[in-house]
Amino acid sequence: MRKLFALLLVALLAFSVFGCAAPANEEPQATAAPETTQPAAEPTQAPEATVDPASIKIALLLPGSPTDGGYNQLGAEGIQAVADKYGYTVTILDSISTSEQITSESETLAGEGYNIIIGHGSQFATPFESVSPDWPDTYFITNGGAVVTENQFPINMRAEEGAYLAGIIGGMITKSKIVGTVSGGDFPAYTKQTRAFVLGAKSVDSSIEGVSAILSAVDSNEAYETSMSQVQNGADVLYANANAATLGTLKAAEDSDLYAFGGNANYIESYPNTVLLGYVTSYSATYGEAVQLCLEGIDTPSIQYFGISSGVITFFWNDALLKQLPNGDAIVAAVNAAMEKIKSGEIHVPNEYEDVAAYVGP
Amino acid sequence: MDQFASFLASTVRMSTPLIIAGVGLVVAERAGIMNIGAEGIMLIGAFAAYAGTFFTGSYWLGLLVAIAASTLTTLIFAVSAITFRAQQAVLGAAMNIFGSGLTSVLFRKYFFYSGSTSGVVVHSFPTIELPLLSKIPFLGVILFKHNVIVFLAFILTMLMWFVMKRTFLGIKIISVGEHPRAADSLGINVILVRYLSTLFSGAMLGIAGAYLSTAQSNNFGVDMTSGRGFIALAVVILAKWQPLGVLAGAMIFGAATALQIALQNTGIDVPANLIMMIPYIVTVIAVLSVSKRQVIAPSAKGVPYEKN
Repeated sequence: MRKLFALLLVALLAFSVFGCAAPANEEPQATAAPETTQPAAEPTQAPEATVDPASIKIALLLPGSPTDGGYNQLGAEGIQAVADKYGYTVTILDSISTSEQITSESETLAGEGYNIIIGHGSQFATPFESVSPDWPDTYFITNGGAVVTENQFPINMRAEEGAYLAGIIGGMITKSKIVGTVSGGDFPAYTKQTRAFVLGAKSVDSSIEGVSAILSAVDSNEAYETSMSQVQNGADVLYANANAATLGTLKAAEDSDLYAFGGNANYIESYPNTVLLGYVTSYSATYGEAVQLCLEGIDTPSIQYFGISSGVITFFWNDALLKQLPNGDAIVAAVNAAMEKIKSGEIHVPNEYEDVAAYVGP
Repeated sequence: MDQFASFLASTVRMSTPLIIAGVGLVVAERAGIMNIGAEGIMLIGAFAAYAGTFFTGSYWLGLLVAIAASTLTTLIFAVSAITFRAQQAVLGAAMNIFGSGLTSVLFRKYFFYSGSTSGVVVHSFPTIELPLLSKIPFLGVILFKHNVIVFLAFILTMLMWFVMKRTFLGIKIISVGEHPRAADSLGINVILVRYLSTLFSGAMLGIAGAYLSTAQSNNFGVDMTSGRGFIALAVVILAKWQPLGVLAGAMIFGAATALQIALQNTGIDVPANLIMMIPYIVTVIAVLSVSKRQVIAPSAKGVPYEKN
C-alpha cells in the first residue's frame, strides 16, 4: 500500500513539474495582447520578393514558453502572424535562457541558412554579438538591447508614446494636479512609460506633479495598496505599467471613484467606468516591419524604433465614458493633435536609452 | 494624521492574509504537523476563489470553493504525513510546486484568452463601513472600514486564542504536538487530532488565498501569493506559536511593506531599490530577534506518530 502511495505521489509531483514547465516569463515590456476590438497595424507591404517566400527562413528564439500567456506568447504569435501573411518559413525555439544556449542555437540556425534570427529580449544581444560576425549573410535582431554590428541590430517598441498620450488625458482631467504612477519594476522598459505619462500630463499644465512608485514584484495586491497610498497623497488620476499587477491599480481607482490608465493592454472591457483610453503595441506589426527591413537590406544597421509613426501602436477609446466628460471632445482633439506632432517629430518622448532631457514638448 | 491613518489601514490590509494563514499554521504546528506547503495551498485557495467567483458570480461561493479546494489539497498532505509518515518538509516542498504548477496551468487554460491579456476580473468583497465604529476619528479608518475578510481575520484570531488557551480541545491539540505518546496513553486520538488540525490549517490558507484574489484584489495572477505563505511560516515562529503573537507578527510584516510603499509615494530622494529593501531587512531583524530569545517549538513538530 505504501509503495502504491509513493508511486501516486511521484505521479503527482511529475504533474506539478509539468505544470511549472511553462512559467510566466515576466519581461518588462510585455504584458498585453496585440489586438482586441480593433486590428493592430499590419506590416505595410510585403517585400518585393523575387524568390519563393517559403525559402526565406526566420527563427525566433524565446527565453520562455510560447504558451506563457504573456511576453513569450505575444512574440510567438507575432512572428507566426508574419509567417502566415507572407508565407515565410518560421521556426520558433523556446526556453533559450542561457548565454550558452543562445550562442549554440543561433550558430546552428545560421549554419542551416536562416536569413533572420530574432532574439526575443535584450539578453540575446551580447551572445548574438559573438556569433553574428561569423555569419554575415544572416541578420540578427534583438528585441531591446543596444548592440549594433554590421548584421545585428535591436528593435525598440515605443510604447512610451502611447503612455504620453494617456498622460495628456490625465493632465486634462486632474483636479488636484497630482497624478499617481506605478511601475512593475525598476527597468527602463517599465519606467520609460510611467515617465512618459507624467510628461504628457505636464504638457497640459506644467504645475502638475507626479507621485511615482515601483513595485517590488508584479503583485496586484501591492499595486492596489500603492495606488491607494497615492490617492491618499492627493493623486486623482492613476496610471500603471505593471503587467498583471496593473489590475490592482485599476481596482484602486475604481474603489476611489477615479479615472485610471493601464499600459500595454486594453483594460476598457474590465473597467468600463474607469479607463478612458487603452494602447497596445503590436508584435506582429513590429516584427513584420523588422523582417521587411532586413529583406530590403540595411546599409547601416542601427537601433530601429517602432512607434506611432510606424503604425504599430493601436489605441482604444472608451467612447461611452468620454461622453460623460464635459471636455470629452477637447480631450480627443488634444490627443489627436499630439499624435500628429509625435509623427512629425515635433514632440519627442524620451525612450529607454534617453533621459528626460531628451524630451521635446509641444 | 490622515496619511498616518491611511498607512496603518494599509498595514491592516497587508497583514490580513498573514494573520489568517498564520493562525491556521499555529494550530497545525501545535499539533505537531509542519505544513511547509502553505504557499502552494494558499495559491490553490486564491485560484479556487477566483474561479468559483467567476463561474458562480458570488464571492461568498468563491470563498467556499477556496476553503474546499485548499482543504482537499491539504488532505493529500495530511494523508501522506500522518498516515504514511512521509517527511513533512519534502511533502511541503512538493505541495508548493504542485500548487504553483496546477494553478498556472488551469489559469492559462481557462482564463487567458490570446489577444486579450488585460485579465479577467471578478466581483470582489466590498469595503464595509461598520456603523458608528467607522466614524471614530483615526481608529475608524484603521480598523472599521475594510472588507469582511479583514474583520473575519481578527475574529478568527480571537476565537483560536480562546480555543487554544481556554478549552479542552486546545489542550488536546497542544498535547499531541508536545508528547503524542503521553496524549495517546490518556485516550486522546492523536491521529484524528492531527488530521483535524492540519485540515483546519488548509481551510485557513484557503481563506487567506481568497482574500488575495477576491477581496484585496479582484483577479488572479500566476504565483500571486508572492511568498506570503513562506512569510506566514516565519510569522508563526516569530509569534512563538501563539495566535495573538501571530496578530502582532503579521502586523510587523504588513507595516514593513506598507512603509516602503508610503515612503516611495512621499517622493523622498532615496533610490527606490533601497526603500524596497525595508520588508526584507525587517524580516532578517525579526528572525534574528527570535533566535536570540531561544524560541522553543512544539516538541513533536514534524515528527510522525506511530501507534504501537
